[in-house]
Amino acid sequence: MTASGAKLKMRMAKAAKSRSNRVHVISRINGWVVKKEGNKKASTRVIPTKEEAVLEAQNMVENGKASAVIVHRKDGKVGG
Amino acid sequence: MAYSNNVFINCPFDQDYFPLLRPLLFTAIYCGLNPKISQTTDSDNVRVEEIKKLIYDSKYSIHDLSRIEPKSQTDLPRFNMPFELGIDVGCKTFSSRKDKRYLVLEEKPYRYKEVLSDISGQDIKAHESKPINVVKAMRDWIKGLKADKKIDNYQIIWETYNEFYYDYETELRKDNMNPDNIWEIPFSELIEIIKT
Repeated sequence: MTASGAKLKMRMAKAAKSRSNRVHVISRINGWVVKKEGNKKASTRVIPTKEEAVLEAQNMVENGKASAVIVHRKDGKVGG
Repeated sequence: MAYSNNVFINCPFDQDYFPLLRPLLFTAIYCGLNPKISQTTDSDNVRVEEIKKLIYDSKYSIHDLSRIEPKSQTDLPRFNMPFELGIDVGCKTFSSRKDKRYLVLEEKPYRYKEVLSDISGQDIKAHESKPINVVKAMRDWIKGLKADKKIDNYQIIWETYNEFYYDYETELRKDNMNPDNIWEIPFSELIEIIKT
């Protein structure tokens, strides 16, 4: 592994262990879910549309249950 | 890692396929397998020798035939994937590796019957070019082979992958690297990073 790769690996390990209070909006085959980062399972039931799931995630932030919303695309990437 | 946990990945290593390759590698590692991929850039003779060794050293194989069609009218069909599947079938048939197992992935159900009907009866799953379907196909196949092993359901793996990919994108961009670029970091490093 290159030196830059080793550094990246260390940073990824740190990121994986960090316990942020973010929530992720993630696709399912039959809809979308909101998942709190680090939790094993999704925090919500399956929500039919991405827009509704984003709203639910934003409500969690407004209610102090989460710090930020990360919205994923159907391919897992962020944004869009 | 030993033969019994190695999984040979036979798929296109190009930009178009990268959105499927990432979750494929992630799921294999999540389920306890050790991905083996060919990165040889030397002569064709060396490449086929490396592929034969990787196949022989891997109990499991994934052969994705979803990209065998020409990309455009001026392109030619891509024979590498079915060729390597053939080597794997030959290895299982003619060597001592009788316990080898392979999963064939396709884009659409039953298309293989039109282009490669000889593989009927094998483990064949269609992913429709959707990353979540790749995760489900891989996870369910591995669970079927290792029924006594506790493996999370595909939804948990997919959601964990999404979280992983967010961190991966974020960290690569900090280094001014493009996470969408398949050649941005070597596959061996990507595999090591996923293992973390």
